[in-house]
Amino acid sequence: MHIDMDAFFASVEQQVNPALRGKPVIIGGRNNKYRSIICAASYEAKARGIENAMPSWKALKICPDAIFVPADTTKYVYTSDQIFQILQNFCPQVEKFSVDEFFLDIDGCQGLFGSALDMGLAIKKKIKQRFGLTCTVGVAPSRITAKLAAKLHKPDGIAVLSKKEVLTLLTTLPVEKICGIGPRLKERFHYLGVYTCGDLVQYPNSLLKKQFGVVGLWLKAACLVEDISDIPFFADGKPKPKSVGHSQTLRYVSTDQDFIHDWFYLLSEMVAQRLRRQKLQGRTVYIYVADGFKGGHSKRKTFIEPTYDGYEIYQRCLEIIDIFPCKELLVRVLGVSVSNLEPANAIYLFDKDIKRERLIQSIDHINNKHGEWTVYPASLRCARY
Amino acid sequence: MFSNDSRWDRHTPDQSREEDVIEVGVIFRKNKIIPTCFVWRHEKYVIEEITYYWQERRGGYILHFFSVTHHSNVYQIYLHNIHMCWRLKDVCPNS
Repeated sequence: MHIDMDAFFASVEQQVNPALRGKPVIIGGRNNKYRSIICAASYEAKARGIENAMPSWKALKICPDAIFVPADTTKYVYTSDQIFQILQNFCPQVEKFSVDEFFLDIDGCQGLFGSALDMGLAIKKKIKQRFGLTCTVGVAPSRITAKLAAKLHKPDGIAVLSKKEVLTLLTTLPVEKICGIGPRLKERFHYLGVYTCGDLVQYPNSLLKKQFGVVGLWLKAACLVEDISDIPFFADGKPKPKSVGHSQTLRYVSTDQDFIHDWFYLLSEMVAQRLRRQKLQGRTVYIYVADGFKGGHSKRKTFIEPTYDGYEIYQRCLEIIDIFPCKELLVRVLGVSVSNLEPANAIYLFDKDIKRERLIQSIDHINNKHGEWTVYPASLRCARY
Repeated sequence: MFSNDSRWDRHTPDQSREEDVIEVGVIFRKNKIIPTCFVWRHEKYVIEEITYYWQERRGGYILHFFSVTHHSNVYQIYLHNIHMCWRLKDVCPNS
């Protein structure tokens, strides 16, 4: 079962402020409503042509009376956590796919709540009662088809599809409707004459693997509503990340090198935290800078020692900045990413490294207990405020 | 698996204005705090509806936020769980 909250951020804001209900609401960044990206739009705004990820100036041009609300992520994250808890009361096997999407493995739970349809309706009712929010429920034999079922019945819908119904639906369904097929993959499929999921199913496995790798096999298996757990890409149930990165758009174009370096340090710490959480470390560091007007610069460098230490990643960033063609950085957007990943299982021999490792573990322990960024390097204050 | 903790901006408090301390009348019912009225700048505001509730963890303490209405205006008030102090975070005039 797939649960997808309808226009989640915008719906939460409409609940918070009743004056926004029934009006086109767009949610964007906190700093400047004309220099932001739309991260959510209410259905009233979507009906006027506003799409997610659209620049806010463009959205306000299309719909000048749209009400711009700065995003307040704590509100959305708290609501998402509460919804997750509600879902756990229905089914022990719940996975948070994103802040507004959840997967439930309802095999074995249906005896408690009746059919899948009854269970879906009960979940919708509970969420509506508690938060006043609507969601769309899709039930199908696999994750990808459940997500597809929900996508086709938005907003405030519910769809329960059997395997036979899914296969019939997929025969004529455009291939880009499947989760995981974006504009570029769609173009490649079209080039090969694959326009519908039915065409994809007919495509030989050997050619599919040659063209798209295991992703191709995975997509075909998804269209056939088959179990994908024996495909290497998903062998242990989760895709392996190729890289871990973070980027940030600053409030203004900055030439202050200290400020820019602080931001690199902050992004390095964020990347390092995610690496440690996933028990990974990486050798290649990639940095990206852009002034927001012309194209950006990027550089990568592979180091001998893998790391998940934020300070070490930051030092490597500085090393890469030194080999940048422009000496004075002019920055609006910057990003840090670490690739060439491997499991983090290093054993340290020297006192200095052991102490550093203990410090990182202690910081992680405090932050896990009291909330992220309870303890952070003092030099990050400049970037933080 | 999606992680809520992977975004920095989640932890960046909006410090655009000083938040006023307010006095709040509350009812405690079934393990819930229900604010009924508040006094801000010597004026009493009777809460007509609690439109939303959420929590925010900041280090060792938790802020309990309530979005409440008075004469169609929306006020965001919060309770600091350690200092037991109420503050007014934001006012959204009905527009």
